[in-house]
Amino acid sequence: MSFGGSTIIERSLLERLAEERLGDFETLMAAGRYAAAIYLGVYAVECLLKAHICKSLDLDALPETYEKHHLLVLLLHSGLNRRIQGMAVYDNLRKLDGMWNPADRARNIRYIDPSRYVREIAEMVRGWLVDPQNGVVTWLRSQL
Amino acid sequence: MASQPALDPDVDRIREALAGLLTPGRPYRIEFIHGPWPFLRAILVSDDFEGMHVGQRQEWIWSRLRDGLDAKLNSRLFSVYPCTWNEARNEFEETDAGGLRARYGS
Repeated sequence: MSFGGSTIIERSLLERLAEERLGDFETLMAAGRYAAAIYLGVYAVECLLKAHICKSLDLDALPETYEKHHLLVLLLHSGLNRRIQGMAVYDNLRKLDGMWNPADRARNIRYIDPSRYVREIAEMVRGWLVDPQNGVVTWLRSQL
Repeated sequence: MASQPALDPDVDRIREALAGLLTPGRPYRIEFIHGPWPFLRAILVSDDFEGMHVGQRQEWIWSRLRDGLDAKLNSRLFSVYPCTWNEARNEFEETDAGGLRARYGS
């Protein structure tokens, strides 16, 4: 749905997108497309953080001003930053962030040689995402 | 994007903790780039990361920092970007202020 040229991104859509992208993560892992799998797995985290921003602001849709991609900045706006401190899940979120978001927020996995992402890395990332205790997705889901 | 924040004692303590992760005597460089205040991002340059892939580097850093930084400093350190000297030369350039910035911004 759009209005005045802007797309309306509803909270429910963000939650659904997160689950879809996690499904894509597993499909791509099975196909050996590890860089793309990681990209979509992290995108699922982004969707969940944006859903949390909607929740914390008590809004049904994401305001345009939050259409950003930096995970830790989204975390700040989600209201979860204090709650996540000191937990292993926070380290996992920073690992996801640190893989491709250094000095320049514009640089990310889309521009990094896919051959740098082998199965071993992707399996590690799977743990960071969906580990039953410390996975970022697991935790974000539990807080929604 | 400023680097090397001045008059912030936490920066020196975080720098010390990061340097303490590395092989003693081996050349390293640590630069800080502000995230949204008070959060910091660090670029950590060392050939200790040679042969480690990107995921392993993150695992290596955060598993060690968990015990190496107190809670307050840990919460200020938003992210760490580890790279080798060769990678740093390819990915970053010097700023006039003596810091680093990414070559391939958009």
